[in-house]
Amino acid sequence: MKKTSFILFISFILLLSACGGVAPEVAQAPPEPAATEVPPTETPLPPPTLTAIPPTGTPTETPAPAVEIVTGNEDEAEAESEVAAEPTVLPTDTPISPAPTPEPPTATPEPEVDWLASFGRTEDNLMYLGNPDAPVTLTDYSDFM
Amino acid sequence: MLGSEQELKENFVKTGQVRMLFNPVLNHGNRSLQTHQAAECAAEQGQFWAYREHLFANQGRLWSGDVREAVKALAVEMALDTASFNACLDEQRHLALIQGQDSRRIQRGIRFQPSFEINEEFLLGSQPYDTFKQVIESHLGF
Repeated sequence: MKKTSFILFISFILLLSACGGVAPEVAQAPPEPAATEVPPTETPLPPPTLTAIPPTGTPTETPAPAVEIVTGNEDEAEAESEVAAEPTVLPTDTPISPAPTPEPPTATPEPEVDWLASFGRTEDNLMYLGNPDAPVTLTDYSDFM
Repeated sequence: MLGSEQELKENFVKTGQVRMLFNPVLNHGNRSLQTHQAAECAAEQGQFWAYREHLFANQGRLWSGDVREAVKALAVEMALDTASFNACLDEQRHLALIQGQDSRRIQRGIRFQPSFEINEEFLLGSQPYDTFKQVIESHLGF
């Protein structure tokens, strides 16, 4: 029995060695290309695009636009830039409509006063008719008879 | 002035260039007193100038009959409050006022009637509209 097992073991070893002798063809992966150092290319980033914020139920913070201070007063410039830097909160639950275009100013004529409806008494208790500050005063001395 | 008054009112008073004043002249006794008091009683109801115009337009009625009844009838025609108007007239509320205004006229030497004073320039007697217009415009700087 031991002899049989030994033979089987030997034959197995031989079989294994026989198989190792003929190398099977195995599909090999293509050789990886050698790593080449690519010089970094500076590709400009696309400029930021402004996108309209759709109205939502919550307030949206929009960054304030940069303000260029042209005045020579630095204190004022700082104050203005601080004010400008504060984010403005837009209430977005109301529809944003384009700003109304201001109508061109039109000369509104002052309403004309009908001085025939103006009357009263002078300091001398005489009845007057018309504009109390009129440049001309016409006094009628008359009898009704 | 009656003939030219409407034009003067329309062209100068209405536009605020001229202020018209009225100073009573009491040249005809009781008739003058009654008519000028009646105008002041209309003034209590804010109708002095309209009533004055109505008096001038009905001068013929003031000469005939009872002048008090005539001025009361004119007040009725103008739809004034007649009870108030008649009480005012009966009480002679404005007698002292019109007498004082007439006295000042006499003191100033204004004895011709009608007389018109335009910025201290006098026109004596009734004048056509163009005369008034010329004097007024000279004071307006035209």
